[in-house]
Amino acid sequence: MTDLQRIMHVEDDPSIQQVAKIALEAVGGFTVHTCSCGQQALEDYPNVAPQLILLDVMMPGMDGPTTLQHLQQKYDLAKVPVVFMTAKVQSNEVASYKKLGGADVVVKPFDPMTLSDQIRQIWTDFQR
Amino acid sequence: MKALNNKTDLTAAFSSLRQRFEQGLPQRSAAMLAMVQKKPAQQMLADIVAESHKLSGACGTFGHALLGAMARQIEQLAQAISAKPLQEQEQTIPELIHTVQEFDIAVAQMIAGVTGKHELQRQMPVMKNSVWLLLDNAALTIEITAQLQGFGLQVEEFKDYTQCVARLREETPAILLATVALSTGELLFEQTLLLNRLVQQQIRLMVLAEADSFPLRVQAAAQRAEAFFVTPLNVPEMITYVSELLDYSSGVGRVFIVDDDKLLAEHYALVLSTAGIETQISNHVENIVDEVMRFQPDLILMDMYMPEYSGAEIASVLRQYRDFKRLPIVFLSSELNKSLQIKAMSHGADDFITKPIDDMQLIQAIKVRLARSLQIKNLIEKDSLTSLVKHAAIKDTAELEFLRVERSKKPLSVVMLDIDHFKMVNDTYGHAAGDLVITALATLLRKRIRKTDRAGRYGGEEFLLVLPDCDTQQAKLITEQILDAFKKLTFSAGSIQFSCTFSAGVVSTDDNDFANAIQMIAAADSALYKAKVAGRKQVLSWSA
Repeated sequence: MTDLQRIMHVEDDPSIQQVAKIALEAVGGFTVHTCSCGQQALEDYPNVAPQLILLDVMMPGMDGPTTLQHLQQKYDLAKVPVVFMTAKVQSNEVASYKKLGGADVVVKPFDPMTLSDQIRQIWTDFQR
Repeated sequence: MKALNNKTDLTAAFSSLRQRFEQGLPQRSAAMLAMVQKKPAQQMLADIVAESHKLSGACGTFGHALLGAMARQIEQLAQAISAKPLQEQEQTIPELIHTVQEFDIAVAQMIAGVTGKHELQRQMPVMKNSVWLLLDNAALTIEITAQLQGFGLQVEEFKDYTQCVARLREETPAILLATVALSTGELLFEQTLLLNRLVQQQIRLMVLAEADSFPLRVQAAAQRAEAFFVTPLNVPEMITYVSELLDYSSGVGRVFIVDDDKLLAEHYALVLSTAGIETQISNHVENIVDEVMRFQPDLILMDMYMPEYSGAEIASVLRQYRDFKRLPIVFLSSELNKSLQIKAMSHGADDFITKPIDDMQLIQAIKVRLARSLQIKNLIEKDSLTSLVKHAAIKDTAELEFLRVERSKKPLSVVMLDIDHFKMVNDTYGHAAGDLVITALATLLRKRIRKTDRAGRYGGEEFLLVLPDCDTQQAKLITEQILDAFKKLTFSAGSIQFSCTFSAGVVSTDDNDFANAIQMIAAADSALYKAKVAGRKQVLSWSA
């Protein structure tokens, strides 16, 4: 199994962008490319070639699920798990996000100290 | 970015991010406050949903769980409003504005370093006899409501957390009985907003869980839950808990103060009485046994060093009396020498409060110890089913009141009550139903008698009332009123509804020249027997 290295984080809130970047890079040792909107994610994808995408659900303009649809239409995401990130959800919502093609859901608020462990676990599960 | 191996660096990095986030918060909440008053409403609501959603995630990540929960409430409210028809939106927007304002205030307080507890919250009067239910089991809700209302309690029902939080903004119930998990999967202990309100408004919490679990109990304990019930709910037990809790809140306790510095003693008495604690100051240390016997305190607060006798000596003397063995004695001392404190404890002191202590701390220190001491006293003296005092304790009370009659020259009445055909109730409807009947009568007795009166569970379905300053006629009238109320209660066992009656015998010191309370109790018992023979469901006096 290849190690997880490159993560693309799509999130419009600058404060969350920063804290996730530190959480994933400094704590987890990953490399994070941050996109501030779905459109940018579509444009940056080929150059970044992320192994995993962390995608905020609620964004102005193009929301997370729509961004995922466009990404799937343009690129082959068979080997790239997409993890939705959203404020507190109910268990049935998690199922609906997975139906949309999400590998898993990370619930906000998240703990910066354990976020990378959570992502690594999702990566491992995805490889099985 | 290179991996930071050093944990200190990491903490520093996160805390600088957090600071930046906190600094930006007032602006964001102010912007949201401006936003919420804009028109058209449809666009405004979408903007509010987006921003509050963002804040609800971010606040928690940066260690502000309460703010996160408040933001989430704004989001949910805004979503609910935008789902409504346009003409109805207008009416609900003020509530949304209010919620955003609360968030704005909370942000300002966070910035000012004020913790939630000392918030500028308006003090709302507590609705003394109100119990709120937060359950989504309709059948259980109906059953509990009926039972509680039968005892004259006001009940309000809620099916979800948000609704309850909104209502808490307007009123403060005495008790909230809440389920730990709703069928939607929402968990009580994650409702930061609700839990925070309970603390602020000093509402007693009782929780109901599907299954017993230690971690869950710990979570409940962290929220100061007074009781932890497991389904199937034992309704009589729950009702006893409720009435006990409501009882506690009325009287905080009695403290006897011993200090040679009279001014200081008066000061303590004044401070404690502002917190609803009854106090008495010792007059002459030599008479302390008599004074304590008469005042019947729940706790003694004593200075450790007094010129004539030391606190340790006085404690030792008190402990020579059987009646005072259990009475908590707390020393006030500036003594920092541990070995001296331990020596004092070997003489019967229970605890130390170190001087100097400010007034608020004194109140809190005493209240905590009083509450604990009352709990223990209740466990020892009170019957677990009814939380009335047990056989021995009510007999002692009768004896004590009988002795007082000699001094007061006022009549004392004693009433013996017995539930009619109780064995049949147990056999027909089951023991659970029988327990419910007993609890119901106990609760009625507690509610209907005066503060100076005492009720005890004398035997299985037998109760004894001790009514000072009350003649036969009055006692008979009171008991008949209780009988009327008891007759009207309906109980349910499965789908069957039934009601019960009792018989009672009344006797007072005016009726005869009784030698002691035992004779009075025997007389009341024989009057009860007459009532049973005469056809039950009636109150007869011994003299009649």
